[in-house]
Amino acid sequence: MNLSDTQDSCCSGGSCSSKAAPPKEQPPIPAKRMPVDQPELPGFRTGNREMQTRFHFHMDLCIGCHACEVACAEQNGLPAHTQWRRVGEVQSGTYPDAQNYFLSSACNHCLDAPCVKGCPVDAYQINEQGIVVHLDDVCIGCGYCTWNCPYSVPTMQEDRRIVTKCDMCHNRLADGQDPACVQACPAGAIEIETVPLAQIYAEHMENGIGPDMPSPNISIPSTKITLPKGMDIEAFTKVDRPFVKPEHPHTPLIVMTVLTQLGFGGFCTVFIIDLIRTFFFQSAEAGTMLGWLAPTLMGIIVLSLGASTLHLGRPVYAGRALKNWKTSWLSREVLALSAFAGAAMVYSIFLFVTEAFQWLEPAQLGGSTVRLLLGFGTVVCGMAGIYCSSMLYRVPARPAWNSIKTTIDFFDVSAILGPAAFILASTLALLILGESVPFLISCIKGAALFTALAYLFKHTKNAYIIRKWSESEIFELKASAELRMNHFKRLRLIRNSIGLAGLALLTFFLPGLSMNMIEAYLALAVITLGLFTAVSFINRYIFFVSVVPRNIPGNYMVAATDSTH
Amino acid sequence: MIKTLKHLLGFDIKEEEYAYGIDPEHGYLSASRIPDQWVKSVCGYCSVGCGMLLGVKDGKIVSVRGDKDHPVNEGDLCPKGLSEHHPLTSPDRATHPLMKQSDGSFKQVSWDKAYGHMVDTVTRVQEKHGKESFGVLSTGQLLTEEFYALGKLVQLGFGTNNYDGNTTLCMSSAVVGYKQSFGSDGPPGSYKGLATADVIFLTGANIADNHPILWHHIRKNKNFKLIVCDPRKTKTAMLADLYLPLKPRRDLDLINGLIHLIIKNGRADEDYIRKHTTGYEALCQHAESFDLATTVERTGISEERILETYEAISTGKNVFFGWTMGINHSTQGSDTSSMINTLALITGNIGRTGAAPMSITGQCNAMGSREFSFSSSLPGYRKFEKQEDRAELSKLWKVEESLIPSERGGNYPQIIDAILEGKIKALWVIATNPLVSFPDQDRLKKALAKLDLLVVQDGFHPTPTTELADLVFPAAIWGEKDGMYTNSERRASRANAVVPPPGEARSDFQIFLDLAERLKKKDLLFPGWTRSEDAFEEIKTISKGRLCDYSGMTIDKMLDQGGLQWPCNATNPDGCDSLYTDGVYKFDDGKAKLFFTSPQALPEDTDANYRLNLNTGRTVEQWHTGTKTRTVDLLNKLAPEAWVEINPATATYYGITPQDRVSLISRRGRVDNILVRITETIHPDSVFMPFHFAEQCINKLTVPAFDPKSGEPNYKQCAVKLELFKG
Repeated sequence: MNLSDTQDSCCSGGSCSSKAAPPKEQPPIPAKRMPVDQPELPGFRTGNREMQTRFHFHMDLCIGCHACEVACAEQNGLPAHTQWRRVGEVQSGTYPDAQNYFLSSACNHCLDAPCVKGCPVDAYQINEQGIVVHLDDVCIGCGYCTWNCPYSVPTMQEDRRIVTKCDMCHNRLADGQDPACVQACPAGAIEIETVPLAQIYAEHMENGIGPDMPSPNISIPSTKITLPKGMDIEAFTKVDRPFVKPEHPHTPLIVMTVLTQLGFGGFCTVFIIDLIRTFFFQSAEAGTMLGWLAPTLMGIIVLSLGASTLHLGRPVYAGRALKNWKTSWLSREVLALSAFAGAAMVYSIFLFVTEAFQWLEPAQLGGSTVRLLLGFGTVVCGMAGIYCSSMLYRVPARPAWNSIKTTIDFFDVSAILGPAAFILASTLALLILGESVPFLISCIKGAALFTALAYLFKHTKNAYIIRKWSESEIFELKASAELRMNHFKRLRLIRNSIGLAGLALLTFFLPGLSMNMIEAYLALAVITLGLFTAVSFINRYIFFVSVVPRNIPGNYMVAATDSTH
Repeated sequence: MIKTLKHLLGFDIKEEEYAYGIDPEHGYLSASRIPDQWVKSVCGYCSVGCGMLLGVKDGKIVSVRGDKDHPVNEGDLCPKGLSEHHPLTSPDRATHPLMKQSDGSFKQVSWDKAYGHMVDTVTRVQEKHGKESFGVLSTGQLLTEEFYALGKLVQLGFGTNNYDGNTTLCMSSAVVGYKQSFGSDGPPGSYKGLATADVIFLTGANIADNHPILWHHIRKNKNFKLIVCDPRKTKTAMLADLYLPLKPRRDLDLINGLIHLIIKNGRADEDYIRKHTTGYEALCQHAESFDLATTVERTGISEERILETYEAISTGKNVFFGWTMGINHSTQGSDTSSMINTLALITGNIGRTGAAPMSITGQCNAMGSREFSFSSSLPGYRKFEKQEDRAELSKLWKVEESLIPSERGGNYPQIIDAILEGKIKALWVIATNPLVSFPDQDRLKKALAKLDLLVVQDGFHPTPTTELADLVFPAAIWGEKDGMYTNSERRASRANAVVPPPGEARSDFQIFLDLAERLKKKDLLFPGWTRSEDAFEEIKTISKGRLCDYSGMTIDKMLDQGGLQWPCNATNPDGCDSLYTDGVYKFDDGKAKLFFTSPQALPEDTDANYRLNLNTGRTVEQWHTGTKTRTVDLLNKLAPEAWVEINPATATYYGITPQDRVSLISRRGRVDNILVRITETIHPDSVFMPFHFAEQCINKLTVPAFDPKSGEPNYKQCAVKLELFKG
């Protein structure tokens, strides 16, 4: 055994600070200590630097003692539930030639960091050394970075209601001192080194940075891992693979996404009916109905957007989320959905004052052209909103979300619930009017057919996709499929039963409804919408909890006890 | 209310609590960990003996850092050391003397009443049943000064020699091993040797988990071969250049086999053997039958791996032979230790830095206990049975020679036996937790239930043992009391008291002095003593000229130099790195004995009913019975409960998946609801389980078989069966 070989080679790229070789000089890029309470930092988000300061972990030297984890917690005064550095384990082979290795990992300070790009409030900054620093007081606790990071590094620190993460002890580095983890390692397995960016790209093009680790292409992690000599990286799997636990359900987000999608579907229907009745069938009754339906939908949308701020650790600063619309899908979602809500409001008011109460003539507000343009605008903004909403889930760090399936699913909900809402509104209108309106009845037939087809499409497609996942070679997809099929088996059964009941009820609307039994039809319409809304909530719940995030190899005991308790 | 609302709305992110600051010595650091001053000390967990700086602020230790100037660790600490300040403020600390009421509850009492009750009861018991009816079980966790005071109090004050430490569960086999080979206890090597040896042979030692800071020395080694022998492929075995997958407890077969190869192939160091040892011819004769084929068959290790080991050991310039509990925890632990010494002697690997047989001890001050606790020997490595040793001590102590016992009393398992037999009626347990750590818990509980009085002195309450006590004495722990810890390499380091103990808790030293006062023997035993320094001065006097010579030590020198390795005296004022550099041993002829023996059958082999070998051990995150480490949130998160390691083939056989929980059953008991870890690191015929956890107490299963020479339990092997747990 020769421990000195690998230690010497690490310094090839530039200056190196480690316990084996104490820093003889400062890192080549001048760095200032970051004041504790000063978020505005000169030189941050530097895009034109040539050098990167990074962790260099020697997997061949690590003895799995966990000192780095405790040293990190002590350095930063962290509670046990928030770990910035974690030691995981990978395994391969059979007794007596079995081989396990440990992987100590904190933030990988990626060159193309998804946390930085995704953060809606710009709470992540990259300093002159390439260290990704999180600004605690800017963070609003949305947790989007925890979804974006392929290594599950940023941690929602519950007691502070914000996200926190490793900053490579850059304030210690600035003083020429080692980070706590580096200082603590008795085997000298963690080092800090500064290397040219080009070198990192070159290294990562060859292979992944470690066994059973996410592809470096997702984020270009700066971390270098020196593997044990002759290690067959493909043969190793992380020891925590058997323990996949459901993720957090994010209830406010379930409510928000389903209801905005319902709202969007509703407004699509409203707009289509508005078009038809404007150009083809004049129907005052339909107008009245739209005059009531649109504001109701608008109210649902506004309420659900409001409810979504409950998802934030710091709801009072929700407004900050608009800031990073240039790179963050979350900012874009907030922006587009706000525009949707705004347009919907104006369109609804138009319909309400001209149709529901007829306080004003449409002409006084610019005529039906203006109204239809408003309707069109609402639909476009809504479409943008739902699209942005779906895109924010399509992150490579969460494979089960990261496909067009998510976008289609989101629009599917609109396609199911929008017409269902319309059926309810129209039936109610018929009941109030007390007389048959053939146009409305035809619309109801069309809507019922559309809802049924949309539902069948969605569930057939998803059943197919989940089966594909269960055969996938991507661990997170397979695990997600297994969660759905095993852990949430009963819930899925309940959901399917509800969906079938909804479909059965829809068939009553297909032949057209009879005014004699209008009360019964109203009851049917209420139940149908209720059933499909319930299905959508259950689906969205499953969507949130059954996603399996990419992660670094974990600690066996932490994973085993976390998932069984 | 307003605060909660502010927090929920996000106005308050606890910026103050999580602020940083600049420590003048250690730089940028969480403000919560920046103290008013840093005080030098030494760790109170294991026997590696790492130097520490304790950060003290407002009467609390807020931070612990490795001492860069301490030669043992040069700034490094393991996860337990790094978080050692947390247990001090745990709500589980024992804070007041407690007395058990008739309804089984505890009542807070004054120290005066507690002492009174203990001394009165013990006196009554001793008057009725004889002096020996009082037993004392101590520890390896006290400071040397405390051990020294306790030994005098028990042997000369209470007049009973039924007194032993939990060190018997730990390293007593190594002690006997050294005595059989060299004529005295005393580990000959030092950690520095790990950096200079060209072959490091570890058997039954998982240092990556149990003594991780030893890697600080290994990493300095530029070129060496690491050979690890262990039935389990431990973290340490994973790091080895050569791994020897031994069948459970077949160490003696392996060592005999290696000796056979060395002698047969003329690789023995004939010169050293002739000059410094006796018994070589008998050894040659003995070794003859342990040929390679036999060794391969008995050990289960391939011929290739055995030959590679033989080659490395016989050609290595400096071979470091390290062992720990894998050897000691055996019915033949003493003899196996001696045979490792024999292997070192016949290859001339002793007396030089890097060349030594070296038992790596468990507890922080097991060594201090060995040297001065007056339990397994007279203080200063003197012998009970040697009249001149007793005479010397009586002169030094100014006590009647007749007061000094001429033989050792019961060792730990013998004390438990004596309780069961009704010979011991009162027991005092100090800083140990047998209700987790002693083999065959069922039998132990039966014994303790027979006592008239059980006094438990501990830093923590409740523990499984304090819960059974009639009297609980709350004791100060590490950080709250001062004195010396001596590590595995004979290095005595100074531990400082930097904060007061909680509530009414007192240092063990103070409790011993108080009890001497109660017995009206303070002037006889501890004349004029008030502080641990008084004991230190006496230790220096009585150890002068002995192998474990402390006479050249001062507290300041210990603090300045990061401890001193005995013998430290006028000739070697800075201590000694190695023992036996001159090849002169402690037998009368000055020569070492080439001890040998043959392996015996296992005390409880597997059979059709109990088809698995149970191996027990530690994990790096926890310490012993967990009273201390399980109060540290992060350590407890990393290792929150026990688990059992089983091979995938075994798992398939029993139909067990990683999500299942299992029960382990032996002839003595069962442990339910155990988490499984299915892993290729263990042989299909074996299972492994850590012993730290009271909830899944593995010692309900272990076999009460003991090394007849050392009293050490056969913890590393017994027969068990496994069942799926349906709870």
